[in-house]
Amino acid sequence: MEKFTVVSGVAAPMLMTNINTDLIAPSLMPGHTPDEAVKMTLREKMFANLRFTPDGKEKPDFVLNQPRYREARVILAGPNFGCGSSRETAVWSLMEAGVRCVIAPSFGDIFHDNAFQNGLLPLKLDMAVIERIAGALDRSNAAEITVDLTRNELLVPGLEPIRFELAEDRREPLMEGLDQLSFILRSKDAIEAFERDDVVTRPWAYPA
Amino acid sequence: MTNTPLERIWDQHAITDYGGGRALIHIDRHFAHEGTSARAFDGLRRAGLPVRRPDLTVGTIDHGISTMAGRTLETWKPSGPRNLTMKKNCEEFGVRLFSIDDPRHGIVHVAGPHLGFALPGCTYVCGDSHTASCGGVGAWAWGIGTTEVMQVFATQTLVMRKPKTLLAEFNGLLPNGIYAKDLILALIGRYGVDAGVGHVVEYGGPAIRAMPIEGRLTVSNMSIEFGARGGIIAADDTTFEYLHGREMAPKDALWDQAVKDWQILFDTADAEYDRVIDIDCSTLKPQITWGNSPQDVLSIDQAVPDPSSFADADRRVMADRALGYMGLTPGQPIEGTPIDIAFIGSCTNGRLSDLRAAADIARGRKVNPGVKAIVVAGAAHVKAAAEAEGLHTIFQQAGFEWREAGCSMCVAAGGDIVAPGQRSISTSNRNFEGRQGPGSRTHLASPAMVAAAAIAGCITDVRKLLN
Ligand code: SF4
Repeated sequence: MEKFTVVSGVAAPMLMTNINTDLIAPSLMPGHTPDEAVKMTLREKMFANLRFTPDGKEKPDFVLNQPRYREARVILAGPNFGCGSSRETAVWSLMEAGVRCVIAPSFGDIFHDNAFQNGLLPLKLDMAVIERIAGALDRSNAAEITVDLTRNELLVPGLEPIRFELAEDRREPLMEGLDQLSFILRSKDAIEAFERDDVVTRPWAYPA
Repeated sequence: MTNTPLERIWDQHAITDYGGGRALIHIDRHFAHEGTSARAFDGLRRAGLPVRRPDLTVGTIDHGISTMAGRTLETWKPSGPRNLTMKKNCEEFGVRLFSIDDPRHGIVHVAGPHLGFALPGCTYVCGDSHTASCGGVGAWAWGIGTTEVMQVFATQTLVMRKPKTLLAEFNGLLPNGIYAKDLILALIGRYGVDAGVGHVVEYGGPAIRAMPIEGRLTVSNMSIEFGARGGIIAADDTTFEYLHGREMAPKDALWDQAVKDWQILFDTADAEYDRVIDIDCSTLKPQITWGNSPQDVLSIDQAVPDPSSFADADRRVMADRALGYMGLTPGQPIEGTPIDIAFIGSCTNGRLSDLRAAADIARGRKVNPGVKAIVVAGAAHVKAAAEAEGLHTIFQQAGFEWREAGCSMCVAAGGDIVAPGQRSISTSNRNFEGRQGPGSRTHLASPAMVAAAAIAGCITDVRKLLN
C-alpha cells in the first residue's frame, strides 16, 4: 500500500451530497460500447457520467474538466461521499487519477473502509469548514493545499492551519503503508484456536 | 446498545478485541462473485496463500452474464473473459462455484438465503453492497470491498469496528397493493439515504413479523440505500420454517440445536438500541422514486417536487440537477409519466413472491406497445418454480420477455441497457445517474407497480388494477 505522510496538491471542490460509487467509477462509458468500456482504464472512467455527455463529449463546466482542477489530488465533497456499492473501483479510479485524499463531512461506510485499505485518506471535516476551504481556494489563485498526516493538519492558502482528528489505528497503517492482511496474518494461531472452540459451541455453523 | 442480537453476534465472533470497539471478527460464510473477486484471487496467488476455508466459501457468476436463453459465459462479450477467469479461479482454489449450468445458480443475494447458506446469527459477507439482504434471515450480513474479499479468502476474518444499532419499527399492517418494497422506499424517503451510516439497522414491528421471508430480504436488501452497511431481522418461526430442510442448512440434531441457539440470540426483550425510529405502514400508498437518489421518493398520488420546496440548500441543488437529468417538471403529477422500459428482477425483487405479485397484475392483460418489458428471475430456482406454476406463460402472453437469471438491467449488464434519455421503471434498488446505462432515467418501485406501468404505458397506481 502506498504510504501517506504529507500530500500537497490541487484541491477540487465538488460540494454535492451523496456522490455515489456509480458516479465515481461507472462500469459503462458515455459514448462508448460496453465492449470498449471494459478495456478502458479506471482513470478514464472516473466520474465519467459527470465529465461527459451521454454521447461522450466533455462537459466543459464540470470541475475536473477545468484546466485549474484537472490534476486534482484532493477532492472537497459534500456529505455521504462514496455511498452506494462496494465496488473498490471507486477508490482505485481516484487513486489512478492521482487523488490521495477526499475531504467530506461523512462517507459511505464501505467506501470509507475501502479507502483506508488502499492508502486513500477519507478525511471527515464539518461542512462549514469544507466550505471555508473551498471559499479560500476560490479567492486565491493557488488551488493547492497540503494534507499533513504527520501533524494532523491541513494547510490552505489564506487560512490558519486546520487541525483534524483521525483514529490512531487508521493513521498508523496509512503513514507506514501497512496493509491489513499482513496485520491479520499475525493472528493465525488465535484464529485457529477460535475455530476449535467455536465448532464445539456452534457446531451447526460449520458444514458437517 | 445492549442485549441486541447484533451485540450478541459480535461477542460470539470476536477473536481478538483490540479495544476502542475494534475486533478481529470471524466470518462464517463468504459468497464470492465474478465481479469483485478476480483481483482478490490474484492477490492470493501472488502471496502464495490458499483460500483458508473453502468449506465456508462459495461462488457464483451473476453480474456480467447474458440472460438470454441458451447463453454461455461468453454470450455477453465484455464480461466473457472475467467469467472464465472466475471459473478457473474457483477450480484452482477449491471454491464451489454455482455457475450458470447449476440449478443453484443465481444472483448472490437470492441464492444465499435460498440455499440455506445464509443462516441466523452467522456473519456473512460478499464483495457486494446488497449482501445486507441476507439480514432478512437473521444473518449479520454486509458488503465488503475486494481487498477485504482477499482477507476473508486468506484468513476467514475481518478487522471490524462495532457498528451502532438502529431499530426501525414498522407499525401497522401493509394495506392491499402495498409491498415490502414500498415499505423500505418509504423509510428511505422519510429519513434519508445517510440515516443509517455507521449502523446496522434492525427491522422490527408488526409489519415485519407478519412478513414472509422473501419480503424481509427485500427490506434488508435496501439497508445500503438507507446508508447502513447491514440490516438484520430477528429470526423467528417464519425464518425457521423457511430455512428448515434447505440444502446447506444444518440437519437433524444440529438443526434442533441451531433453533435453540437462535431463539436465545434473538430474544430482544431487554434490547436497547442506539436509536429507534418508526413508520406507520397502515396508511402507506404505493411508492415511486422521481430523482437520482433513493431518498427521492413519492407516494403515487403526489407531484414531482419543486426544488425550492426543500429547506436544505444542498437538497435544492441536487433536486434541480435530478429534475434536469430525469426530464421532469416541478409540480407534474408522477402518475401518468410515460415509460419506455419496465424491468422486473434484481436481488431486491427477483424472488418468486415478486414474480407472483407482478404476474397477478399481468394476467390477461397486454404490455403497452410502446414499452419493452422484461422479467429476469433472480435465480435458477426462482425461474424453475415460476415456470412450474405457469407464471412465465402469463408474462409471455402479456408481452413480457422471460429471461434466465442474472443481474441484467439492474446494473446495465449482460446486454440489457436503458438507452440515453429512455425512462425505465424498475424493481431494482438504485436510481443513480447512469446506473441502468449512460443517460438512463430510472424510477424505482415494487414489482406490482412495474407490471402495472408496463401495461398502462406510464407510471400508474397499481391499486387500480387489483381485483
Ligand atoms: S441485482 Fe443489481 S444490486 Fe443486486 S447484486 Fe446484481 S447488480 Fe447488484
